[in-house]
Amino acid sequence: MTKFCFLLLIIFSSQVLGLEKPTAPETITGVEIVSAEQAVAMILSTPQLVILDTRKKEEYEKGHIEKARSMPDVDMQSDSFSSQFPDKNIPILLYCNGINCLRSSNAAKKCLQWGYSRLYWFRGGWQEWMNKALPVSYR
Amino acid sequence: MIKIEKLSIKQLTIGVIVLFGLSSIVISFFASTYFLNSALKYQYHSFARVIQIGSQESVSQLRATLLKVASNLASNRSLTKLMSSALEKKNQMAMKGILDDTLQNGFVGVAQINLVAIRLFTTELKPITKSQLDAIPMNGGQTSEQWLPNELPKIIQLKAANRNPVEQLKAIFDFWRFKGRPYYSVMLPIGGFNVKGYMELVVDPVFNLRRLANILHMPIKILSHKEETLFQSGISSETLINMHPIEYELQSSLYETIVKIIAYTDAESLKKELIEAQAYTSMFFLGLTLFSLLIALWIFNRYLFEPLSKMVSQIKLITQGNLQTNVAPFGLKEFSLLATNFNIMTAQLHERTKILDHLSKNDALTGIANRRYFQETFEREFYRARRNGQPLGLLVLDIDYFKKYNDSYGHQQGDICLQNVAQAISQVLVRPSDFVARYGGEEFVIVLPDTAKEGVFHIGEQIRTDVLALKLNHQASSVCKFVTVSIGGRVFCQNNYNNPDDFLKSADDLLYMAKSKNRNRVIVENMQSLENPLTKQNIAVSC
Repeated sequence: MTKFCFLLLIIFSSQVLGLEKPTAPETITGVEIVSAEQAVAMILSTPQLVILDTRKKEEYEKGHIEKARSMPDVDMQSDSFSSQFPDKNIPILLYCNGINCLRSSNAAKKCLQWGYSRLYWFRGGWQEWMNKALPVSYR
Repeated sequence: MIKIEKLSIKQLTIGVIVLFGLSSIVISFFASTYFLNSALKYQYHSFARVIQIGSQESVSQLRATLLKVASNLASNRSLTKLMSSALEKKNQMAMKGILDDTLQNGFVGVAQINLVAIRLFTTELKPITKSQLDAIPMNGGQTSEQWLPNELPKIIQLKAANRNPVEQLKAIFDFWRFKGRPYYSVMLPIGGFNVKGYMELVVDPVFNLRRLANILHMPIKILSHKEETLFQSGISSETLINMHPIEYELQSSLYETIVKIIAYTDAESLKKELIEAQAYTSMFFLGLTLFSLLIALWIFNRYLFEPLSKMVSQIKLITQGNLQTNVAPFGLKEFSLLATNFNIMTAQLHERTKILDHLSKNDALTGIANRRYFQETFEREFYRARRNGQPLGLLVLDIDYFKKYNDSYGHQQGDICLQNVAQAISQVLVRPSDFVARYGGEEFVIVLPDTAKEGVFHIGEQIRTDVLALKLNHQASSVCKFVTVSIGGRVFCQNNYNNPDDFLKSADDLLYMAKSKNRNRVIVENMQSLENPLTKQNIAVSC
C-alpha cells in the first residue's frame, strides 16, 4: 500500500512538474503541413525551395532527400540562418525522422519566430519518405 | 422389456442415476473429442497465421534491404552521368561494368540477398543493359541468363504505366514468376528527382524465405506454383509424410501464386498430447461422476431408501394387526411428517379398533361377552380341553319367568334385571379363564376351563344363590317373589362329546330339566340344588 501511494505520488508530481516525455505537436500555427507527395511536387515545381533536414548529421549522411541541407535544430542560430537565407519569403521545407520527432517542429518554430513566412512542415519525415520508397540521395 | 411399474424406488433411482452417469460419460467423451479436434484445428490455424506473419516479415526485410542497396546504386554519380546518354554503346558497356562491379553496385557484404540481375531501362522502360548474369549462381547450376526475359516483368510494367511525375519517383516492388521460378523485383528511378531512366533489381525470394524454417523452428518446403520443390529444409521426405502440412501461398499484387510455403508440424505428437489430455479429462470426469453417483446413492440410501424400507416393514407389522407399532420418524423432512401423521392415524385406528372389538365381542346391555364371542371362546376352550385332556365346565342359565317380569315391570326394568344378573354372575367368576356371555334374551352361558363337576356345580349354585340374594322383586314368578335363575351344567371330560354343539345342547337339556323341576335350581350332571339356598354370606334366602 505504501509503495502504491509512493508510486502515485511520483506520477502525480511528474505530471505537475511537467516531467513527462515531450511529444511533437500535431500542428504549428503559421506552418503548413505537407505529405511526401506534396513535398515532392513542391520540390519539382519550386526551384528556390530550401529543404532542411533537421536530423542529426550522421542520420543525414546515411541518406536524405536530394538537395536537402543538413541543419539540426539545435545548431540553428538566428544570425547565421538569416545571413544564409536573407529573404524572409523564401519557401522552406522542414523534415526530421517522423511524426514523433521534435526536431523539425522546433526548427519550424524557430523559423516562424525569426520571421520566415513560407514554412512547410513535412511531418511524416524520413519514415514516410522511405515507406513510400521515394528517391534517396547520399551526396 | 422392463416394466417400470414393477421396479422399486431404489431400483428406479439407481437406474436413473446410472443412466445419468453413463450419459455424462458419453457426452464428456464426445465433447472432449470435439474439443480435441477444435484444439487441433485452431493449433493448425495459429501455425498458418505464424507462417503468414513470418513470410510477410521476411518479405518486408527483403524489401527494406533491397531498397537500401538499390537506392545506393541509383544514386551512383557515374551511373547517373552515363544514363544521360544511355543509348551510346560505349556508355552501355561502362554501365554494365558498374552493374557487375560488386564494389560499385553495393552488393559487397550483402549476404541477405540472392541477386539475380540488375537491369537498366530508359524513361520509356526500354531495356538498356543488364548485369553479367552468368556471374550470379542459381539453383541447379543454371544461370539466370537462360531464364530471364529482357523486358520488365508485366506486373512492374502495369504498375509503372500512367503514373504522374510524383508517383514516377516511387520505387515499385512486386513478385513475379517466369518459367516456374519466382522472382522479386524493385524498380526505381536513376538520377533522383531528375529521372534519367530506371533500374531494376531482380532477386530470388526463395533465398530469403527459406530462413522461415529457423524462425518457425519447423521443417518447411517451398514449392513453385507448379508444385516443384524449390527448397526443402534438411529433413527427409519420409519424415515429412508423417507430419501435418500447413500451407501458405505467397501471392503477387495480381493474386498470382508465387510460391507455396508448406510448414510441417509434428501433428502426431501434438495429437498424442491432446489425446492424453482427453484421456485424463475423461478419466477425471468418469471418476468425478462415479464419486458423485456413490455420494448420491449414499444420500438416497440414508435418507430415502432406509427410512422407506423401515416404514414399509413397520407398516407391514401394523397391517398384521400390531396397531401399537410406531413408525420411527427419521429420514427426509417429508418422511418425518409422514411417519408422525401415520403414527397419529394408527393410534386413532388402534383406539377405534379397540372400540369396535369391544362392541363386536360384548353385549351392549350387560357389558359381558355376546353370543358371537361366546361361540368363538367356547369352541377354542372345548378343543383346548380335548387336546390337553382337561375338564371343561359349561353352565347354561336362564332367568325364570323373565317374560312375565318384563310384562309386569316393563322392558326398562327387565334390562336392569338382566344387567344385575350379569353383574352377579361376573362377580362369582374370579378366575381370569372363567367366561360368561349373554347367549340371548334372558339366557346366559358360563365357560369354566379346567373345572371338575363339583366345581362347576358349586359355581352354578353360587350364581343361583347370589342372584336370589339380589332380591329383585318378581311378583309374577310362581317360583319365588324374587328373581331366580335355573342353571343346567355339563362337564366335558375324556372326550365325552364329539363337538361343542353336542356339549352345549347337553347342558341346555339339563337347563330344561332344571326348569321342568320347578326352576330356581342348578343341575350339573347328576348333582342338583337343595331347596333353601345359602348366599355367600351363608344367610338363607327364603322365597
